[in-house]
Amino acid sequence: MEERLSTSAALVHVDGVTVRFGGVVAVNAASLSVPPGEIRGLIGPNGAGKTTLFDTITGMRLPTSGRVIYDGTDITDRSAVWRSRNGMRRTFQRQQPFGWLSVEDNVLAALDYRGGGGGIVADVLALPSRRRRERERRAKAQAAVARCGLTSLSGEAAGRLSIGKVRLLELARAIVDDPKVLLLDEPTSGLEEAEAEKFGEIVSEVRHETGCAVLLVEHDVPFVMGLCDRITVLNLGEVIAEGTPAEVSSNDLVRAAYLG
Amino acid sequence: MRELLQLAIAGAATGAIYSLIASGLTLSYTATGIFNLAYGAIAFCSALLYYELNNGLGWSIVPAFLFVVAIFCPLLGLALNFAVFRPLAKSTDAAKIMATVGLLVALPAIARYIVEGGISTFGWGIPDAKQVTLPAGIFRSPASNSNLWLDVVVNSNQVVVFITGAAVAVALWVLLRHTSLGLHMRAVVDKPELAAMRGVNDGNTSAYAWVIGTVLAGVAGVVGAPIIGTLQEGTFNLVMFIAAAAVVIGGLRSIPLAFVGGLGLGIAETLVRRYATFAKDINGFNNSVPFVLLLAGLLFLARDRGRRGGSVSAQPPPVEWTDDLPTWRKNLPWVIAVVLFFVWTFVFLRNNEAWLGNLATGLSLAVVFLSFVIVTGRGGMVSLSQAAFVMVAAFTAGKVMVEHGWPWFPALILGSLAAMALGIVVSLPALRLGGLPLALATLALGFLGDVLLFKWNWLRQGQSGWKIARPELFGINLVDRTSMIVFLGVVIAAITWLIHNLQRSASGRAIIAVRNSEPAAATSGLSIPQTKLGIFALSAAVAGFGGVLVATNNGRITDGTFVTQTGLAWLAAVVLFGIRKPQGAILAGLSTACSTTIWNRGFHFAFTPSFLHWNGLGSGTATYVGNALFGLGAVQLAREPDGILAITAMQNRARRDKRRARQADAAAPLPEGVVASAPDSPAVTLPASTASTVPAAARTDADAPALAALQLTGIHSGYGLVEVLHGITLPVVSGQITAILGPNGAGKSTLCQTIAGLVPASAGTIVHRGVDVSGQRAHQRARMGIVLAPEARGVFPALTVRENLQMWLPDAADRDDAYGRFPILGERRNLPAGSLSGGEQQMLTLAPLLVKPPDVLIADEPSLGLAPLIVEQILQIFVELRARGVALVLVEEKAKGVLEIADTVSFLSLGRITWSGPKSAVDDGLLAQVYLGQVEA
Repeated sequence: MEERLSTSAALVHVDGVTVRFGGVVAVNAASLSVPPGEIRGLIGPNGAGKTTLFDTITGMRLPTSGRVIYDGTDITDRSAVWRSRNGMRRTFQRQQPFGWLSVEDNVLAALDYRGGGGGIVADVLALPSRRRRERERRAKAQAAVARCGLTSLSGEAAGRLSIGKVRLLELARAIVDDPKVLLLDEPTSGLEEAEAEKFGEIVSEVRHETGCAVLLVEHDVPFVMGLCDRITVLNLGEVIAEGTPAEVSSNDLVRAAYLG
Repeated sequence: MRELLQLAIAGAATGAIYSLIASGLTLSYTATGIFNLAYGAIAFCSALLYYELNNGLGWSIVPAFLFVVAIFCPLLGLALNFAVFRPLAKSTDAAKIMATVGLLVALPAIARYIVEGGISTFGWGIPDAKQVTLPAGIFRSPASNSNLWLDVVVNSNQVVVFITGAAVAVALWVLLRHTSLGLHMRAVVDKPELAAMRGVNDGNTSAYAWVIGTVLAGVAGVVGAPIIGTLQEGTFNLVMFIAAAAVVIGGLRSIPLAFVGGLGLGIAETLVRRYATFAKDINGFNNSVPFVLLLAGLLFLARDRGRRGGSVSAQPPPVEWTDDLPTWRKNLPWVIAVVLFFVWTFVFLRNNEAWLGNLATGLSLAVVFLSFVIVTGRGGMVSLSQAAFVMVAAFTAGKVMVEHGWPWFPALILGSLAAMALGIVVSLPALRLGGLPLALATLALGFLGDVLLFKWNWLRQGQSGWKIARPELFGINLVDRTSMIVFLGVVIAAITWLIHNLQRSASGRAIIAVRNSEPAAATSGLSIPQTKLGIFALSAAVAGFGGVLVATNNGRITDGTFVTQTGLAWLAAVVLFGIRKPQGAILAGLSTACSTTIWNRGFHFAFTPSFLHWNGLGSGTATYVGNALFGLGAVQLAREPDGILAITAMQNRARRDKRRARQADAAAPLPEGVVASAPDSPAVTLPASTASTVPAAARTDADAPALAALQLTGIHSGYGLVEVLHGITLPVVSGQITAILGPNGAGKSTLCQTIAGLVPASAGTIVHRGVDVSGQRAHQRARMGIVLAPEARGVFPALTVRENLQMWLPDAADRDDAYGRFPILGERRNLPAGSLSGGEQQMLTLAPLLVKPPDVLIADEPSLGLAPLIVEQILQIFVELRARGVALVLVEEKAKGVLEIADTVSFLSLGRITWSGPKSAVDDGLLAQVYLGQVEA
């Protein structure tokens, strides 16, 4: 399991993944490779299997067959928690803020696994060493909140934010731990144009600074065309095209898939 | 062989009672989503009423029985439906469980109070029913025996139960399979929203379900009482919890399986009692069978869940009513309360041993109650096994003190650790289960403790239990009540401080994160099992710590001190005062301990003038008043996690806000991005006029507004705080097909659901043939002829093809028309709709509409996932409907098919209509622009 698989230079390599629910094939033998530092768009009409593929990559759903290789290691059987602690972070299409926590605590919670020894006992007793490490993490969380432009809302309960601010909050939560791969599931759905633009700017800044790979599912085709280096098109669970934005938008199969 | 048969008959009689209860529980749970833990309490009240009518007032059997099951039970069911269950319908699982626990506590207390209060106050000449060991049934009393073959004897009570069971089974089968009410109930269970779109009012089916469920409980109580053999509410509750195992055997939804499961349970219980000789040395093994089955069944139900994803918590964040105050001001009332408490204790109660005892008991109970704050208040999981933690800790401490001579303090710590270990065991189901199944699993484990673990002589020291003397600790003699009270005060302060630390720490954030969103927690590096285990372990340790304190205060712990059902009453008390904060637990502890004394003997304080003295209600009924108040309070406050405390805090806040508003003209503006409307006051604004406000863009057809069957004007709508549609204006004309096209995420389904009335519009109007229907609910709009064929097949998968048609076509002749039109449906009329292919399901959706065309039909993605040939047939149906004058709205993501038949086309993008016009104006360039942005091929 730990041996380095030198099949490709890809950071994330999805190798022939198939996912079935009952009799329905949601993803059918899909393969794709994303190298570090690339922003990859994943597009396709309703029911194409994009979110299912995301769930498989992030460990929330086991594939029926196929493998997920991450940084040279087969992680198909690793848990979602393991993946998130090892540099794979995501946002959700159906928003998933920790609604009762403040904006800052939402982001801090995504770093809390680095809390240090003692766990719940140390927390209950408020041991000084544990508090000190929390202060360090809090500074980092505040930086991520600031980068996403949420500082003025940092004390507000996440459950009371508007849809656009929650998208930014989920982004802050996903980037705070300096991930190697960032998976964004329909990050701009429900956003105003200006908000979407701002979102795109933050994503490309983070990519330039940390060199992380970004994988994003999106329906706003102009947004994807403008932001992504390459695009993979899914239809009915299968990869039907892959290439630069210009190549993809002139592809006949893609036009057929979208226009029916 | 004779013995086996004899046992089987006795077992089957008990089993038939389980079956009756399990059927009623399943029926009301599936039809309303509420698992009524008070079901045994309802059965008890019915049995008590029947006993008093029949035995006390001398009514003969038939009128007494009819009065209970035909008048009392239906009225009780209706009352509970309107007062308790309907308001709970949209609440969280935890709120539903806590509310029914409140009912479980309150109902028997009210019944007892009426009976015994009537006897003592008004001198009613009826028995108090407390000591009844063999209540009469609805047939001969005493029961007569008859010989079957082989000298196997069956008594008349058993015969009555069998006949009742069989009659109820047949009646339920007829009701559900052969009446339209039954069909509608099953439809609501299968797909509630689709049922509304077929004109079914789920409020009605819910009321019927509770009436029927309550009647079944009443029948089970009255008929079962002679076999249950007592008129104690605790026994009836126990019978109900055993029946819960049968409900779980039925998968929480199948009435026939639950019925058979109940019979099986009864027989299995009896046979195990007789034949499991290998276990005869294990006290309580026999009684543990149903709870083992309940637990196993729950875990089995959870087997195929695998990795869970997508569970969304819709709970809004709790409102902090005091967040406008500085910290010192927030804490001031509590500081004053604590000071007053101690001043009162030391000055006025100095020599009042009885009251000091009450306060000490209250404070030690408060420690136990703090454990609810951790597991339910913070963790959001309902644990019904807290009493078991109390017991195991107290037994452990008692044993090591008495047998091994341990000092008190180390014994206290060891007891807490034992409770923590048990807490970890109880948390194991929580890794798989949540909500109701988890609560039932903790209940099963609690009962296993009662019947098995705490009957173990090694642990419980026989009936007499362990003596735990109040010790001398750090030079303070806790035998003195005031010292004990001070000591308990310090302990509570310390635990409150620990809970405070927990809330502000990484673990506290993880608890809330897991509660709010498990998928987001797991993908943010937070381990869900570790978090849940930690919550249960900590909560159990606190409960155990409190348990040793309670036992110390009492001086002794025996296996009868606390049982799982005591824990239910505790939960009701904590819910009443507020389960989210330590203060609620402390008040609940004090109130629980003091209420019986107050109701019983009143209060006479040396410092008050004598006209303020009160002599109480007298012994006997005092407990009932307390339980009734705590229980009813919990029922009403289950949805409010802060209980009474929150209500007073809210009122104070309102007063402060009013004062501030007077002082300053305008309130401070909210920060940008915060949604301003308060959760309980949705800002619904409806423009007064309709026709005059139609924007020019909508008038694509010159005289459309005049002909429109349906006119949408300025519709805004969405989910919760998220607005999806930002002002949609759209005329829908009879005899025309209006196509709405747009990419995923544009708001197409939201638009369909808003028109159908499933999603309320936050602004704008929908006018149907001159009538404003904006305020109508989905089933009312469906009855007016506005019908939605929803995305992903509008069929009820669990109903047969015939039953699906019946929902729209009650007349058999109309259904025959549909079969004539679609022979394939006729061939499959008795198959469940879920087994049809996608195309056949879409035909089944549309077939009844062809026979009885609606006025307006909205079809959401009718071609999704269908083969091209089938799509062609479906489109032909729409063409035919258009010819018959139906106003059609076809919503599609893909343009091709629908463009062939549409008359007008609108493009929807990000919640707005971006282009609207006749089909002839649509060309490839426009489509490419709409779907792929500006990029041209």
